[in-house]
Amino acid sequence: MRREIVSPEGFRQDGRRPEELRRSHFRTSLFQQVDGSAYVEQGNTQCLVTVSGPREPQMRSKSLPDRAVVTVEYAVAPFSAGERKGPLRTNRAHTEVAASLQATFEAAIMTTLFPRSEIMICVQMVQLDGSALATAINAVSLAIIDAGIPVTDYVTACSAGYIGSDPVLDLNYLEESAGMPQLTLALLPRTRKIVTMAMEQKLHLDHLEPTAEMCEEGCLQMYQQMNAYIASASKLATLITPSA
Amino acid sequence: MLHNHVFLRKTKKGSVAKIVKEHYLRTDIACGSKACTTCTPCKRANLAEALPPFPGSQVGEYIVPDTNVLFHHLDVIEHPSISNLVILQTVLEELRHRSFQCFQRVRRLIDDPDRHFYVFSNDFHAETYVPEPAATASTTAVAESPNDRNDRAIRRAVQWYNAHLAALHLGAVLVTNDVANRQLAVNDGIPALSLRDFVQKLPGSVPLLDMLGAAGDDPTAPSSKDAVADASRLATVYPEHAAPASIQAGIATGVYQMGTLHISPHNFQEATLLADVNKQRVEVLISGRMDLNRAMDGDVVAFQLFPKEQWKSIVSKVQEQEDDDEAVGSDADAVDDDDDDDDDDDAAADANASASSESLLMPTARVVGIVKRNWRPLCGTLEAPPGFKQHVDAAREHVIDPIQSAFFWPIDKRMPKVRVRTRQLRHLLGQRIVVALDAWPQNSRYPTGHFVRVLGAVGDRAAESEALLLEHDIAHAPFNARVLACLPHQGDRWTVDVDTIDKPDRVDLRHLAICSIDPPGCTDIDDALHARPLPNGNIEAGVHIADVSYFVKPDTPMDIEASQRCTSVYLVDKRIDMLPTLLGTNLCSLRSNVDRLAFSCVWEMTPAGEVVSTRFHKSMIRSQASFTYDEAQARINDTSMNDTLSTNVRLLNQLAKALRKRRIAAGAVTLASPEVKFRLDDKEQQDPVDVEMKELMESNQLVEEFMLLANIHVARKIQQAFPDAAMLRCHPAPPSNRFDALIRAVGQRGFPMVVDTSKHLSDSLDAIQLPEDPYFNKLVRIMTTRCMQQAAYICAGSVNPSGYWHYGLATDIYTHFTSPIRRYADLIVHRMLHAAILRDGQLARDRMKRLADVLNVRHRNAQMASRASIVLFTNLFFRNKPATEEAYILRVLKNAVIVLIPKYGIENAVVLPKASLAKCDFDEKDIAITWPADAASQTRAGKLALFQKIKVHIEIVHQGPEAAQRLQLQLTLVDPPLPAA
Amino acid sequence: MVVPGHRLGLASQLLAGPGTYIEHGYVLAAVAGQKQLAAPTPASQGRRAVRVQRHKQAPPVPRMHSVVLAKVLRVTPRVATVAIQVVDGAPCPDPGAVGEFMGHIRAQDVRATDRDSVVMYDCFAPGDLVRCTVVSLGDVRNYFLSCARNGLGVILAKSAAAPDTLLVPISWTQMRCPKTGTIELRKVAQPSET
Repeated sequence: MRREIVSPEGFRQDGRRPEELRRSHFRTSLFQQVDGSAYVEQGNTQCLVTVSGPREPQMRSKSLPDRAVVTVEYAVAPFSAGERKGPLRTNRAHTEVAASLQATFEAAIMTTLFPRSEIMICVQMVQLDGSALATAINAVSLAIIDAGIPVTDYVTACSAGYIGSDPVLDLNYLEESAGMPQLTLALLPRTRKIVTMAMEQKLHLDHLEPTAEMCEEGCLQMYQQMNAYIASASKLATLITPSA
Repeated sequence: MLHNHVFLRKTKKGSVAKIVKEHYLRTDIACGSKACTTCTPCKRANLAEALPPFPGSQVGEYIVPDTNVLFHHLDVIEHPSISNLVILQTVLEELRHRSFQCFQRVRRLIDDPDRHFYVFSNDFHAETYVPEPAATASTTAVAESPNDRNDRAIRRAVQWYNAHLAALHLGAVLVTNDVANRQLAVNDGIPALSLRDFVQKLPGSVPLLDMLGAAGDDPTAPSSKDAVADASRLATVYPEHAAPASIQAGIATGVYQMGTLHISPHNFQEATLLADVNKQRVEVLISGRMDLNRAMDGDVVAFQLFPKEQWKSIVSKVQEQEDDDEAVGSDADAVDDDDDDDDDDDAAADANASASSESLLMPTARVVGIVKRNWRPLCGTLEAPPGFKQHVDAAREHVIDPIQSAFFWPIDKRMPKVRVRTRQLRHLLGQRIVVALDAWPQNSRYPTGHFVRVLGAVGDRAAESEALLLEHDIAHAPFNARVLACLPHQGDRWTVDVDTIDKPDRVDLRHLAICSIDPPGCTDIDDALHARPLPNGNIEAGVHIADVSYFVKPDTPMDIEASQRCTSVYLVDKRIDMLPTLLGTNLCSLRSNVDRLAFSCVWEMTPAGEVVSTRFHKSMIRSQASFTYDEAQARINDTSMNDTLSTNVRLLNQLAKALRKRRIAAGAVTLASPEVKFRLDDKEQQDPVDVEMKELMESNQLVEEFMLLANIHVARKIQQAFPDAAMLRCHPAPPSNRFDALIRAVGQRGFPMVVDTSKHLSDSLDAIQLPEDPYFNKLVRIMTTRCMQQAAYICAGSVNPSGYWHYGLATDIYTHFTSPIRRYADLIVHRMLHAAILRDGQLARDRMKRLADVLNVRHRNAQMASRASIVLFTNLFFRNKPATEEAYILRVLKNAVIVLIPKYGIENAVVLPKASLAKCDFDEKDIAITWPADAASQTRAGKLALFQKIKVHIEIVHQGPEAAQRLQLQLTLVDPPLPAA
Repeated sequence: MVVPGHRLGLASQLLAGPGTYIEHGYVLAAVAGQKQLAAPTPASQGRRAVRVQRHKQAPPVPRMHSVVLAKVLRVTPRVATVAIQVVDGAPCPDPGAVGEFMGHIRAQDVRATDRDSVVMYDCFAPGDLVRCTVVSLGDVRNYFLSCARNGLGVILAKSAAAPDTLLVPISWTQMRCPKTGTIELRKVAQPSET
């Protein structure tokens, strides 16, 4: 029998209310070999991102004379989902995620400061439990800040679904697989400018606004958390290496 | 607020998979008591502020039932005297897994604010959450089972409640029938009661105690006095059911198969189900008590096919329960078993007799196990046990009777009788009561059940109607407040708002001469029509359907309610609406001379009925007249009336005739039903006073043609827009072998019947005319209808497009669009069409598929309820006036014939007396019962064969033993006379 | 402590420095780090320069007029190919992981005078460490570097005669091996200028 996504008591299957985000956990500066790295957990979705650059483009033909090129590699670990998948193959869905990550961060990074260079973003999904794109965006955002690449603002993302007559924030895998329409929104929290909007399945136009609003709230909450983390991490960093 | 608590759950499903789920624990979950001030305020908090303490306890206590109490004794819980329950989330989840139906009933109770139920999400509460036992806890002596864990969670929650509420002088008590659980609770200082103890503490608990059934009995009470129970428990009666594991293994290896059992309405010991025999899907017969092995109608069973030597003839016989009516005692069993053997011998003989014609052999099987019970509450009456005295002396009037056993006779003839134990037998005799089934032990001949409630006296029209609705699972409670809140707040003063016209997709058609044509007294007018000549010589015709989707928005409480009711149910004396009356008969109803919203389907047609163009749009209309069929017919006939409406109607009629001609040419089959209509007397009693046949006029066909046209065009449109999710109605071609018997019978009368296409069938039906018997044609049509498959709702994506074919109407695609007030399918189609026009909207194929399944079931239930209602009123009609009428034989069985009485539309079995039957022969070849002339008793030779016109005597008798109180129409053969015994 | 998007002040009062950007009349932080205000200079018309100092150094990217240290890889009659190691005092990241910034020192950029008669083999040898400035972002592959100043040129070179021995500059065109006394020709950077 189909389980209800939100019980009449107002709880979801994992005990959250519809408007609540999952627990999240951040870490940055994990690797020395790259310029910036971040690890983000949102619920059981785990994502590891490394950023290199700005640097000499590996494929020089791709470089642009007026700005830096953002290249994104998106990979999903074979052990990330319930069933182990075979060796990594290029997957159309993954290419699409990579493309939308690229578009998102080309909008946020001040690429014109680094003409003819490349910013390489590698995203590795370690574990999937829903809202993969949103988690990846948040992780990339942190990794870029960690790399010190100038950005106009954070990019924070959040997903929301629409079930029955109300939106539900930050879907986990169970909720995602219930087949409800899912919206992923990425925005620049300061200006609330939406940089990415991805929709899975059809959603009636009337319902888009409340869903998007909830997403926006989620993004802002996420911003608070990320901001707090960056502030504390930077403070720690300045303590360890007093500024030169 | 969020407790970041993650735990692991490992499940093994096929291959090993580790499933990790998050589980957030919170502190903001309210206890639900209105008296509590420390909890986060919660809108659902509904437990009373103060409670009178139960006898023996110091403080008022909220009741916390465990899962088994809810599952087995929901009837008790549903009793209005029980309130202030805390339903734990753990319990609710367990219940959902056990029985979704029970779960929904509990949900309904929770939603009722007067009952003061509250759902406490204990699994999400930081202080009441109980961790799962570690899966690898091999060191502990016995690993805790999930059930034990749930019990622990329930006890923990009760403990928390008591601690939490102590300051408020309130408490909570665990109610469970599990002795071990109670003991554990008491050890932990948690108050716990058995359901029986709890119920006994309630004032006026006697009826409730009965509802507990045997399960709630005090185990110490001596049960040996209970002769009935003991007698039939002496020996094992039934073969053991196979264990679930061996059933699964059997199905995997193909030894067993699985199917849903359908008990024959004529013979409660004969059932059919679908199975794969030699890779073909065929009907399989299971007959006899032993082979059925306690399976009941609608159960999903595992069964095993018998070898071909044991296959039986399809000719069955009527066997009702009275044949099987042994004295209630042990010694009857042996006798009855012999009976069963006799049956088998007969069947074997049949098989031998008809071995030459293999097609008449039906595969047989036996039930090896029951996968899923389809137990529902049954309506019926109690039979007084032998020696029971109805009247007791006044002195004992107020003494509670001891528990007594009695047999309960369900109204549904397919159900076996049920053993019920009650303390109030005296009061229940002669009443229609509801009984819930508890169990059917292997050593008990009959299932056991417990009393639930009284509906009313036997024969009382209201009680019988209620029983009828219950039997067919039709929701007939008044609409609840949440549903009514969805109605426009202006109520009946609601008028068409100019704003809705301004929407670009709504067209103002108020200037058109639109009229509606309906049966007299119709208040829910779904449809209206118009036609007008166009300058280019073509005709514009429009069908306007009430725009219900404007009022009923998706996923509102009203929509959910309607989607559960699915259809309005028409009984002889009342109508059970799908939508609240305000909508059905007023705001949506396209009444004359008021502005109403409609969904219009407008065609441009040539006078020959060829559609040039179609358009769909929402509209607002103002019907100028509501005609009855008769009034419309008058305007068709009287060409001297020249007002716009009359010419309009004639124009429509002209088009309808052209359309009809095209349809018939395409092969549409005209079917017939023997339906009749009761004329009720106007007094309060509403007893039927007369019966009339439903009459068909040109104006009926006019409306019908246009509705068909609209449905077909809408179906095409939505199928194009949503090839995956469109809701369609299909009517599969009947399997040709279904017609075999009919073709043979009609062939004997000299008429060929070709059934390969609907066109040929239609033509052959038209050719069947007996000058001396004009009813013969209709009779054949009625029987043809019986051979047809049922039309069904389907979701377009789940069927190959070739499966959209509607056989009866001979159209490639069809749907229901024209009656949104009384059918939910039409409402869905309205939404789809609207979405198709606007090119937006979301339609999930899976959801539509599920919906179609529900619609089909509800639809069938509604039809069956209507028929049962007609039967009920037929019985009331004949109660005091037996009659002798002409009848036609529709089917010949071994010991009976099924006849149709055209005048009253009654279809029933004429059971031939056993004594006479002994002198009759059953002619396998012609399927007829024949008997030779017998000089001794001065009887002529006679024969009962298909289509034969006979005379029968109609009277109402109590069927079965007196106590069964089943009013039954009994037919006895008058002419031709049977041989005397 | 500021984070990207953090508003630092009005653009009319501040001069946007590294790690900041201007939007809608405000100066905002573009990286996370320490906000640093400089004292107003006469040239800044009373505005104070603001920069955000990252706690972690950003990878250096050569730009126009950057002073870079580069290692000579190849020398041809017309051009010396070099790999840039340090930009404006900041080391480039491990070349293995990121790839290198490549540069060309063309013959005409080796010295300011007598540019037409430069013999590349008399100015550089593979393995030398050269200080140069970026004169142009060059073509797709290479930055164009110049040593045409006194302070620029070879700062470190190894002796061809004695392995692992550093040459000692003796004039602006010559270096000597301290062990063997061999004189090798180079375009030597003036040591005093650091």
